[in-house]
Amino acid sequence: MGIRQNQKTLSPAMRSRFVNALKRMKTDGVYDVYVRWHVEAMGDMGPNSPNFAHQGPVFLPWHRQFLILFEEDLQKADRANGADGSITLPYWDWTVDQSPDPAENPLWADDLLGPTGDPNQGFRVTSGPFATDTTQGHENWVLHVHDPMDDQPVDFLQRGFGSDPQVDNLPTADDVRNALQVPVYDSSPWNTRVVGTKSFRNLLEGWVTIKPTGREPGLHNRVHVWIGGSMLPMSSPNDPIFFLNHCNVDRIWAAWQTAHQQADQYPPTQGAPEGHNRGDLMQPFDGRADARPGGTTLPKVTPADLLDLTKLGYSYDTLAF
Amino acid sequence: MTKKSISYKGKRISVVEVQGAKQLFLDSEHIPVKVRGRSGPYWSRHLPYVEFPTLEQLGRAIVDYRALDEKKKTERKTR
Repeated sequence: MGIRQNQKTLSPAMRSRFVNALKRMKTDGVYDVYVRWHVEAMGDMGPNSPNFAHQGPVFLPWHRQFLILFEEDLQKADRANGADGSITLPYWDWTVDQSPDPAENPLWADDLLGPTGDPNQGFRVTSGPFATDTTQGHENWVLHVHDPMDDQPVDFLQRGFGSDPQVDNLPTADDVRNALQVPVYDSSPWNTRVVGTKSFRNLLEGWVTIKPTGREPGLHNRVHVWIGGSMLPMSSPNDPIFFLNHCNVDRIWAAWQTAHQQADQYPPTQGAPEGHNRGDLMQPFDGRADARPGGTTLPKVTPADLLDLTKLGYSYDTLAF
Repeated sequence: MTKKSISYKGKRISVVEVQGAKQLFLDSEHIPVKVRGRSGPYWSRHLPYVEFPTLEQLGRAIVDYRALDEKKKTERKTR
C-alpha cells in the first residue's frame, strides 16, 4: 500500500489527487458507507450494549482496519480518476501543525481540507473542496449520514476550531511522549476507567491523562473536540479531517509498538466487552455483506490480525515524536 | 422522585432522580446517558468524544452543540 506521509510534505499534485479521490469516493457512494459503519459501531445506548469501536482495547485495531479499507478505496478512486493509484492516506501531526490559520498551516488551505467554519453561518465551512453545496446540479459534499438520534441534522460540513472554551488548544508532543512511555497496552476492566499508567490505549483514546500535565479530554478525543462541528457527533467521518487525525493516532500506536516490542501487544483474550477481545471478530469486519457499491462480503478481522505492521502493507515516513 | 431544572438558552434542562438513578431531559426529550462511576462522569452518544462531570453540564453541552446550526435552520425555514 505504500508509505503514509505527513500531509505537509504532499506536493501540490498529490494534494489535488488526494482531494479528488475523496470527492470521487463521495460521489460514488463509497465514502458515506464509512460514515455509516462508524455510526453503527458506536452501538446503541442499552445498558449492556458495547461500543464496538471505542472506549476499550479494540479502539486502535478497529480504526486501523477502518483506515486500511478506506485507503484501498482511496487508491481505487485515484485510479478511476486516471492516476496510478499510488496515493496513500496522509497524517496530520497535530502536535506540530497547530495553527488554525491556512496561511500558517496549509492543511486548512482551499486546495486541501479547507478552513474552519463561519460562526455567523452556523459554523458552516464556506470555502475549499469540502464546502457543502446543495444546489441542484452543483451538489458538493452534502452530508447524508447522521446520528439516528439527531432529529434535526444539518446537511453541511461544520467546523469550529478551538471554539469550545474548555478545549481551545491541541495535544502537545509532550502529551504524546508521556503516553508512549506507558509500557502496558491496556488493563482490566478494559474501558474508559483504566488509569493512564496502566493503559496506553486509554491515554491515546483520550479518556484519561497523566497528571499533572494532562488536560482532558486528551489526545484523540481532544482533536475531535478542538475541530468541533461535524467532528463532534458519531458521524464524525463526515469531515475528511477524521481520517488524517486517525492516521496520526495509528502512527502513534505504531511508535508505541516499536518502542515496546517485549510488551503484550494486545492483552485481553477474554473478559473484555464483546468485540474487544484479541480473537473477537470486529464489527462490521466479520464477514457480513459489504454495503459499499459493488461490494460482496467484508473481511473477517480480529485485533490479533492487526498487530504486526510489517504484514499489513503500509508504513509511516517517521515514527518520531 | 426528585427533579431539578434550569433554563439555558431557551431550553429546560432537567435532571430527574428516581430511586437513585438519574435521567437527563432537554424539555421533554429524554437523553440516554451512561455513567462511568457511581456519580459520574456522564457520557452520551450525542457528544461521544467527551465526558461531563454532571448531567447538567452534559445537558448544557448538547444545547450548545445544537445551537451551532440553529441560526442556519431558522434561515432555511423562513426562505
